[in-house]
Amino acid sequence: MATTGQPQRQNKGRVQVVRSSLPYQVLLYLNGWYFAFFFLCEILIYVYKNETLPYADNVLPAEVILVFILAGIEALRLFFAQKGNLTERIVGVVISILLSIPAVLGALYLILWQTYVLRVDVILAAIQAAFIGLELVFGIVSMINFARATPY
Amino acid sequence: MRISGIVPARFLTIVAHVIILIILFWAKDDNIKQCLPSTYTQSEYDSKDTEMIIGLSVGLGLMLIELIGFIGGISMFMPFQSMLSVACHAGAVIALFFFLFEFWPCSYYWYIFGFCSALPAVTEMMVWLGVGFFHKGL
Repeated sequence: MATTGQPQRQNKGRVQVVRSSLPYQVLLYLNGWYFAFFFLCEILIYVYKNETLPYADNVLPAEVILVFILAGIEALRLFFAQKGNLTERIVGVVISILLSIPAVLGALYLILWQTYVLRVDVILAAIQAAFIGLELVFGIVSMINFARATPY
Repeated sequence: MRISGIVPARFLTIVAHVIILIILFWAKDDNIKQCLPSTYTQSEYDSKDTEMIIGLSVGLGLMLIELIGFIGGISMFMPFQSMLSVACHAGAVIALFFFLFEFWPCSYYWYIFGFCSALPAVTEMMVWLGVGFFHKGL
């Protein structure tokens, strides 16, 4: 499945090596769709919580804004990771790895520290955190791959 | 190959099915009481509880099989398997929502399991066999 480091085609003395990681790209593509689903679910869950549970002043808007900020961070993270992986540059992958720290903290906030934690919250955010963790591993591996000397 | 909308649709329906199965693990109590008589002993409850736990675990295992086949790329671009999988899992999610919120008796779970978890998993494994032994891949 992985096409990293294998010469694909040989024409007229030029060897083309694809070092972009396919599993990493599949994960990023699916994570984009999963996050859209996750975002929609979280907003609907906040609507439900607002209707049924008592909240202190200004807590609910802060949590909703946090989910929106998380969406922004996630969009940037996935964008830079995909660009970095497809163009085989380290910079994009490094930016996405750095952005995955606030993304993980946001997921942890939804699991542990928000005012009311529902079971759905725990499961949804845990799947999101698992995605981020897997992408961290693949990101580091592909970063090492890109950092090697360019093969001729 | 052009990626059509069926790949994310299949992924999201499978994930939704997994999420609702995990929720059922925590909330199966009322469903078990629905399929017991009004007076029941602890051992009767325990046997039904074990039955539900087995059903839910096997359901999660079948989801795992399908996710491996899907994310591993074996059946990701096969139109028939994807369509069947989307239809079955979307149906399962809706049926399990009713199961959860309307407190359906626990014996109903086995119909949902048979038609919406086992059927796509069996065809998925037939796809694996076809790809592995008969070179029927794309």
